[in-house]
Amino acid sequence: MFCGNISSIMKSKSIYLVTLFVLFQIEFANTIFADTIPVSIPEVLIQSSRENFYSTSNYNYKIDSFQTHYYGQNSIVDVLQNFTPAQINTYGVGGIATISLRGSADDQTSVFWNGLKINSLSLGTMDISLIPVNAANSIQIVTNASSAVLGSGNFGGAVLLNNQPVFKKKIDIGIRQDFASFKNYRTNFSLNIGNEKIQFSSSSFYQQAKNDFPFYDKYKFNNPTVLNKNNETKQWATVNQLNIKLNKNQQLDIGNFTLQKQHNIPANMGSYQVSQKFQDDFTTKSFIKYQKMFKQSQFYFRSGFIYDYMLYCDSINKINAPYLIHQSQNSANYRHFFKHNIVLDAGLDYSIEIAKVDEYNGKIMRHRGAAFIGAKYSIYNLTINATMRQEILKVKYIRPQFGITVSYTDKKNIFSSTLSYADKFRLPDFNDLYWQPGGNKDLLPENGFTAEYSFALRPVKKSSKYQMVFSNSVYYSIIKNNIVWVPIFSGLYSPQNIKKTRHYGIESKIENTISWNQTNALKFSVNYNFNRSSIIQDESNENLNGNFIRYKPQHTIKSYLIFEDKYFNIGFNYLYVGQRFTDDENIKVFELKPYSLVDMFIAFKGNFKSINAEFGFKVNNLFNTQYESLRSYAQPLRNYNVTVILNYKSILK
Amino acid sequence: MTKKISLFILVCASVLACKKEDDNNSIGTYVEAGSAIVVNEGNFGSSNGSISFIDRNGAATNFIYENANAGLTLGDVIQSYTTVGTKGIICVNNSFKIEIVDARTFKHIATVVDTTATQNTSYVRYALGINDSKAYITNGNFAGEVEVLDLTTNKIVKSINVGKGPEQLAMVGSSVYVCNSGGFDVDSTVSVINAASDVVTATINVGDIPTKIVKDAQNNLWILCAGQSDYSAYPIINKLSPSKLVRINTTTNTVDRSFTLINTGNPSYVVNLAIGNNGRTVYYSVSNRIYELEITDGSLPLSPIITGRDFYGLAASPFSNQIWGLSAPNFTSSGYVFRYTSAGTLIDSVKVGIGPNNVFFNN
Repeated sequence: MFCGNISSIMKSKSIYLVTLFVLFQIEFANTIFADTIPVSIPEVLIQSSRENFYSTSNYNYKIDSFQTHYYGQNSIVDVLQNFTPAQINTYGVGGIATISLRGSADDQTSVFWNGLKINSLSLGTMDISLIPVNAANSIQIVTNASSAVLGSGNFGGAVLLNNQPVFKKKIDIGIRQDFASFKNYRTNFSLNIGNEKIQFSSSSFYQQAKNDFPFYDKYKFNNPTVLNKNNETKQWATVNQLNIKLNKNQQLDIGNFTLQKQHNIPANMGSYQVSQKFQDDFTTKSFIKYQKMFKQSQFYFRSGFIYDYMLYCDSINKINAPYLIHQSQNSANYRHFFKHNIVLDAGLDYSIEIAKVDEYNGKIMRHRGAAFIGAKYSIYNLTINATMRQEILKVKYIRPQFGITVSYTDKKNIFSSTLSYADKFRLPDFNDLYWQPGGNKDLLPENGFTAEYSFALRPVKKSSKYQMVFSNSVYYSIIKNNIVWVPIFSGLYSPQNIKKTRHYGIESKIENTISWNQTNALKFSVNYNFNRSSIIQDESNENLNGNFIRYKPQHTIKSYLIFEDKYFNIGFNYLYVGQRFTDDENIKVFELKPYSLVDMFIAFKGNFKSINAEFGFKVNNLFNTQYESLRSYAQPLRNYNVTVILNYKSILK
Repeated sequence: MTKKISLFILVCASVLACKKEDDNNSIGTYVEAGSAIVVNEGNFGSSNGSISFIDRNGAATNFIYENANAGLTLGDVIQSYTTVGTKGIICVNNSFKIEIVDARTFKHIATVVDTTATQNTSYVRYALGINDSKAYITNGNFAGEVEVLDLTTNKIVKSINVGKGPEQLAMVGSSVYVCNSGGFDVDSTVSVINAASDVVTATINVGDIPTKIVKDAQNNLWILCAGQSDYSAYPIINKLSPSKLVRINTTTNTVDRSFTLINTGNPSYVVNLAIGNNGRTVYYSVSNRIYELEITDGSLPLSPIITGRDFYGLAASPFSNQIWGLSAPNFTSSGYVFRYTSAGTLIDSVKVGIGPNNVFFNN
């Protein structure tokens, strides 16, 4: 019935456009839908993991290589900040950065690397400053991630980082050197080599930075200019992946991502003492995936191991706190392609999580399991996904999680839309449960749901030099049993399930591309996000009902303008973040003012036989804006980055 | 004639008080007798501590420092406030500074950052005026110091070594008594300093973790010793050493009264101490119960006068005989001052800043 209405509206493009305007009052919108059930079962769908296969219908963001190329010199932070609706909470250059989506908390957004969930078991969050852009060749945000598909902790959505091999006979060697302000140096080496049966890719980098940038300290009388001290960073990482086609129907993928980051932690603004805090993160994540394709079905087994070590030191307060976490995440999935475009999946997950943290009073071990079933059915222009998951935990019962998505795409791919519903839950993190003093083993999981309607419109023929995509998403979420640490008595806090929150909003994007020929193009994009995230119940203080959730802006705008030529590229990036409150009371005195940032880059390119050379220059914060991502954490003023790239590419025959 | 002058002053004070009620952003006279300054420490790491003013009629004006200083915020973890002459001294613990303001307007005068002492202003806690040009500041979370602040130059001129983690301090005659809580460690002493020579003249053993000190009508000192607790198996609290309320006889500098509030092994906790009724009644809290003890009583009271609410701070108004309980329901939203009669009947509550921890009453 609903889709019938859509179809009738489609008969008149003008009525449709007016209706959109009236309904949403939004000029900009976003993203691309792609959702097809295979008739001939393309290999990419057969091989697609469960997470990707059942997440493709939603209103997703995919980062392209161009964006990672110019904004990914440090980590995925800048890329997600500038090209997706994600909100990045950064503790300054070189510091921790966390991601949240659609007004959810940063421990309510999951990050997956090749199917492994890599959020901290202790905190629930993911420090995305630890993820270099070359950790994955595909970066995708799934906005309406379902707990039925992705498990715990996806209220705002999920970030999927994947390495998808392309089996070609080739050698590709790249060297990249970045020189940036504040004595920031980064060297990157990459190698891709392979043929139609085996592929090997390797990427490594080393970075060191002083990060002693000047800033106006607005928390001191007369706002003096001071240097950010004790902010040095050293970091190295290596990402390696081997993909082997054992035969026509079997494939083996092996990957590892190892990183160490050592960084000092500066004092907050307003402080008169130089900090002596230090953090050392070491992580290694490995996976092995075996998959076998049958005539009408596919099976895969994936096993992953994660080792996380973190040491936090504060010399002044004599704190020396090591964290050691091991995880083994295992997943098996069987997919069958039936006739009449019906696909069924059945899968099992099993994880062992082990933590050795002094404050947990010894070793903690947790076993988790889950059973999954999913179905995808395609008829005419409609695709329906239905998924269900039953989490199996020794201590807590979590009811079955459901998700359903109905997608429509017209035959010419001019209009597509998706309506979806997803159950959500999040298990308490280990600090919530076991940290002493205060940890609360009786905590309930957070739970809730998200409903979303989204559409994309591509009104211009694909053959045209001008391309435009207008897309829009409207969402509504409720999160119950939010876990909040509250004071029990003087000096002692304990986490409690005391908060209920509501999140709704609109994400809109318009993307324009004008291509004159194969090498010249002008790209322009505007992404506007409206989000209203509010407290609807707080048992610790009933006067907070209706207040904004802290640090969640109502309005953000992200825009870029890029001109590409055979010999050079030039681009501008614009970011606007609206007013944010920093406490639940929404106290005006402590709010963070809106800010706008403009970055620009220019890059010159040249080819010498099989070698591509590139020289790039980037200016961040062009207009020297003073801003705060988090209250009292200093951010740099105008700063620069110079990049030199040499790339050898050879496609062998 | 005196009556007329008193009436005139009263009328003026009322007009000023009404004006402040009408305009939350006005800069007022924050030293009027009978009014109070509430210290709101804010959320650790968020730089959202603040100062509230409660006039003699009970109306609150929040963010008086920000209002007086063009929106400049005070800092991270506001620990305490006191006045010395015309100056107000604010200890801003996690900004590692002492802020000096005009006590009448709360306009900034100076920021004191010690660069000479061995500890620097690494952990400033409480201030005490010695005379109009000199104040003591407790400082340090391990090895402790009392910094000597010269209020004519607004600089720290000397450091006096005391016990670990010095907290509240009080003056009787020319002697200053400093509670050495241990900070992040354990101490159980009170240091006595000669305020004229800035020399420690005695050290008195009182009980583990002395944190709060008040002076009674007989010029003796009452000290709350929290005792050691092990919270590592929370919600089970293992009391390792007893919580005590002790009295120091300042004539002999000895402990002449000692009450055990919580015995070893008991899961209760003790946090607050205040003195009221012109120095004749001591108020203290054990868990969520507030008790009163007359300074002449020989034993602890059996029943509390207020129950059912955990307070982060406790004060007793010397002007109204009210008991003020400072409530911090969480550290991400405003706190409240609950006002009770001296008999423990709730009168009202007033909203203040985030995390109210103590009150300074203007004489």
